[in-house]
Amino acid sequence: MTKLIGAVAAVVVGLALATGVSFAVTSTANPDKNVDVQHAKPLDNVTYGSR
Amino acid sequence: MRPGMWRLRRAALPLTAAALALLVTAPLLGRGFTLSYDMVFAPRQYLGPDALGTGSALPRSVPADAVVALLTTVVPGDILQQLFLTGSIFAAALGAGRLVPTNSVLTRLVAATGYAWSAYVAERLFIGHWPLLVAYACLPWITMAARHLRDGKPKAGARLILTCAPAALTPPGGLLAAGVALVVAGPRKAWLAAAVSLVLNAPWWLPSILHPGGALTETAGVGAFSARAENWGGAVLSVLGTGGIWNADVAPESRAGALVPVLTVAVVALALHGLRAQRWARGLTLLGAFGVVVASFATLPGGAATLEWAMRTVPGAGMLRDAQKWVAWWALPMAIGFALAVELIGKRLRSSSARRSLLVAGVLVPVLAMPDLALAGWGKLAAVRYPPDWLAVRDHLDADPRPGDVLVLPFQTFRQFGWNDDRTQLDPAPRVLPRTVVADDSLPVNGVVVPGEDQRAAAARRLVEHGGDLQAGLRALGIGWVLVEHGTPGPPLPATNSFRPEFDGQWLTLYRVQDPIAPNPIKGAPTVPVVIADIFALLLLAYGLLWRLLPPGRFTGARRQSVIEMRD
Repeated sequence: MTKLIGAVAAVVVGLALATGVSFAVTSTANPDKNVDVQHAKPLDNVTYGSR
Repeated sequence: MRPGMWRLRRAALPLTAAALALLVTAPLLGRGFTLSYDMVFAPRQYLGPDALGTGSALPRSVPADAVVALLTTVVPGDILQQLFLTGSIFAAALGAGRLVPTNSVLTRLVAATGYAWSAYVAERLFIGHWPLLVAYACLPWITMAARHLRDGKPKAGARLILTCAPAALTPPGGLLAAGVALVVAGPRKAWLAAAVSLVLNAPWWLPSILHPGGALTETAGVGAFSARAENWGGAVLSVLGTGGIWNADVAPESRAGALVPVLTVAVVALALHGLRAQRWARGLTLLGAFGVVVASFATLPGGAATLEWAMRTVPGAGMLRDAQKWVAWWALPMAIGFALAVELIGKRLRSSSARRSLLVAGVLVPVLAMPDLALAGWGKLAAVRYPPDWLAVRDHLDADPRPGDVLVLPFQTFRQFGWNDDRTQLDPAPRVLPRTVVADDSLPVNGVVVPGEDQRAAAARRLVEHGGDLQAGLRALGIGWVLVEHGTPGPPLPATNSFRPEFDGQWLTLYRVQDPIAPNPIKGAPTVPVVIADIFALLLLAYGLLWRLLPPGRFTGARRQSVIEMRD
């Protein structure tokens, strides 16, 4: 029983740690910094394709 | 050889061709339409001015639209589409297999798979260029017919007419066919190949010449439509592998694989080795090399600037836009050469089982290297039914005697309907509705909008975008109806509260413009010479058919040939 709880806890802690690290990395990198949310237009254009 | 074995050997190639075709198109068979990018079929298409090339737009899908309009009077549009798609892949495989000079069935199968299971077929299928697939399928058959013509075999002229005719459904297809016919027929019979090509292609080149707006093309699309590097190998290597279409969204994901350039170099090297001893294929190989150069020209230093200059000054040079299509010329010698090279290497192996295994591997290589062509690109394409609204509007317009063409909104070229799983597709209205449709013909690609060429569409755009009296403006343009398509992205619609709705459904609303409606002020190519050109092309086709079916001696050429044969 102790082993099972330990395993579950390790998984949960691991997931939390991974989530935290991902969040920190994403916050630092800020990949959306160039997106202009204020002046975003609704989807109004179907393009022929993209290169 | 036992009779059963002999029959199996004979049937192996057609069975493989059928299996390849069905492996690609099986999910599209049954009732329903495959609507993807430029491919739009309708339950029944109508023979309007645009289908003949006499409308206000340049004749880009001519005479394909006219042929489909005629055929859908007897065959439902979805069945016809399936016949075109499945038949093209089947005929491509069968033709390439029959063209290889070999006694080995497995070698024929290598060529069949190599030609029909190519990046060219996948990309042109996914972008919906079905007439190019038809032309691609004709190339091996044209090669055989032109070889017969060069060798003076009976009824070779008839064969050439009949094999070139399906390719001439659109301008690029007609030119692909003409190139192969001229090169393979040789200098002594080139005049006959040229004459056949000239007459069969008259339904599109004559209206192009006579089009009042001229046949010059916007230069904005040169960069946007140039061949694309699908992987680290670059654009030229992508083109050499018969891929490299400009649109990344229609390229199979497998084309981006890290090993694809290595495989391409290996296949090209093998193909050139296999073609070395084939004197008959030298012209075809040189034409293929020319196709590779043209296809990748815009990506070479100075190429884009040269093409832009050509489009500004040379009528018809617009066909060099999206030039990757010309690599079809290379696909055939590559498939034939690869098959012959595998056979040559196999001959060096001692055991027959090793030889067979090598050839079977050669058959499987194209499929394993690009498995995502199977099953319509793993769901990239699917057959759907038009919502009943479309048929209701069609019937309403068909029954209404009042004059006027139809403007479609939102005013943009492409649609993404929920009922077609949000696939990008051309507006179906011009092909579904029984009247001339005025639609946007500009092409938005990668943030660049390549302007259209239809002056009437440009005038309609000004009306829709800049406001003013829409009713009066539409009346003056000869537009009697406004069709608003719902459930697809688009720019904001102009106010329609002054229009009277005549049909209001979930997907479509049809409004009537107040009478009186003026005639269309923007003229296309004159009808009489274009119809005469169409009749000449049809007469040549009928001549070829009769020449092929009737016994030798009923036509001058055939009689002369029979006499020569008798003397020999």
